Amino acid sequence: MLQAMSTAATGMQAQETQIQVISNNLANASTPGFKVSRAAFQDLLYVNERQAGTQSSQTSFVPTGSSIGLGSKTASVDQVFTEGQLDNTGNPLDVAIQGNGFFQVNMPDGSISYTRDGSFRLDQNGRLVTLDGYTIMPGINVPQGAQNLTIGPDGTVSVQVGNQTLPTQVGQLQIINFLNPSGLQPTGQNLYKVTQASGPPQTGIGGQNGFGSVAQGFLEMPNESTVQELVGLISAQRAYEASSKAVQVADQMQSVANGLIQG
Amino acid sequence: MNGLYLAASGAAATLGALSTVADNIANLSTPGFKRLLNSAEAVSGNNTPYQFALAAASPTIDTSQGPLRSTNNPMDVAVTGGGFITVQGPNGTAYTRNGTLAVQPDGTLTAAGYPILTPQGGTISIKTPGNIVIGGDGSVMVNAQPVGQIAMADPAGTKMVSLGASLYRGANGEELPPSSNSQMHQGFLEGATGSEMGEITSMLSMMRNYESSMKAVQSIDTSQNQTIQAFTLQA
Repeated sequence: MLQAMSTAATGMQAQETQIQVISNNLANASTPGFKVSRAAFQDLLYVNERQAGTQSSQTSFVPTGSSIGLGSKTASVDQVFTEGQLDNTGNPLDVAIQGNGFFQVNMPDGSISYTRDGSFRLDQNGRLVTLDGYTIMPGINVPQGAQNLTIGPDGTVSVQVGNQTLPTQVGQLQIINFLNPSGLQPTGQNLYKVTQASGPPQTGIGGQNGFGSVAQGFLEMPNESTVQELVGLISAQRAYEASSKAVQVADQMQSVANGLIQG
Repeated sequence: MNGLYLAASGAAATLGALSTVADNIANLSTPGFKRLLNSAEAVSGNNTPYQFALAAASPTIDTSQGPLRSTNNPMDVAVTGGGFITVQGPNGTAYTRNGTLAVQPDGTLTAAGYPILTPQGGTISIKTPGNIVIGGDGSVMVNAQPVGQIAMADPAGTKMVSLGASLYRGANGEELPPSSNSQMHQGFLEGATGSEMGEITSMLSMMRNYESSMKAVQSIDTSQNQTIQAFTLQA
């Protein structure tokens, strides 16, 4: 088999990955707090048939080596943590983070996840939870009959209870940040888990020291541009076609060689 | 018989060149990929002036500017001009045009997965999470605090070789001088050099060259066959 064939096949595989990633981005065009993924490609190793800089005679050197590339590979698929547009929903329990950071979510198994999807609700006990019913950390309890729930830019949650005129503070949303948010592992449900690559979580207060501030009544829309995704889809398709043509040409060449020997 | 080998050498060289084109196509989506240009050289078969075999010669790296693609991602940078981003490769200093940046858990800023070097030869460390802004000269600011500068080096005529994984180095391991005519652009990635159209066209012409070489093999074979037949008849 010709090397060109397997080299071209690596190109087709890379474009398949690209199309999978773009499809997932497009499928989540309305998911609050969703971050687009990007497939990053690298070239594979080179076969050095003649090493550059080796002596070609007593007095001369080979100026450039003969290296033949073996194709491309997917180096990583990671999330792009730029900010999405903020969508005004008017719901006092919808919050968005303006800037860097995540909310901290308590999972049923006791572990911690992180999210930028601030579409929160209250459960039957008055606790602030995600749409899946997972509690926010640290826990925020809203007493029964409370009115006028307000969330400040620093994450402070306050309500008016009964006939009191002054609001009572019932908790504060913490903002968590990472050195390398792209290293977080997405687990679905708009949640991320900490990994070795993301670095340890750093806790902060909204609006201070580079931590994003909290915007009540807003949801963060996905940070994707549909146009960019579609352009990516088109160029992936064309590159896939080009690689498949290379397979075809290699095949035709082999068939010419086979045709040399006549019965 | 020599003609057969001469014609076959042309076909074999074309096959080698096809691998390079297939690799250029496979890397159309690899940021900062520099395509390889094929070349061939004549090898003297014997001392007659008209008998030359063809050998695939060293492909050279096309270091021309790739297209800039807007990604809107602050962790992407593209270089315009001749400069390469200087990184700490697996075996010493290496150079890349793949500006996919990332921060390692210990805070080291990387490009294409390798630690970026500053003009002084150190690495860039980002200790606090925040907004990363990269200037045209490669200077890196986190939350408006300078943390270092990405060194850009210019091959300036030095022959480069590909190491794979988007890395390049001087053919003889030379350290490249700092680049003076390069600009860094945040939020962009440089696409691969080369286009589907160009690569497919060269593939088609290879296909035809290959067929011609094979036709030559065939006609030499046919004429030899006829000679043998003629001899057999007379005998």
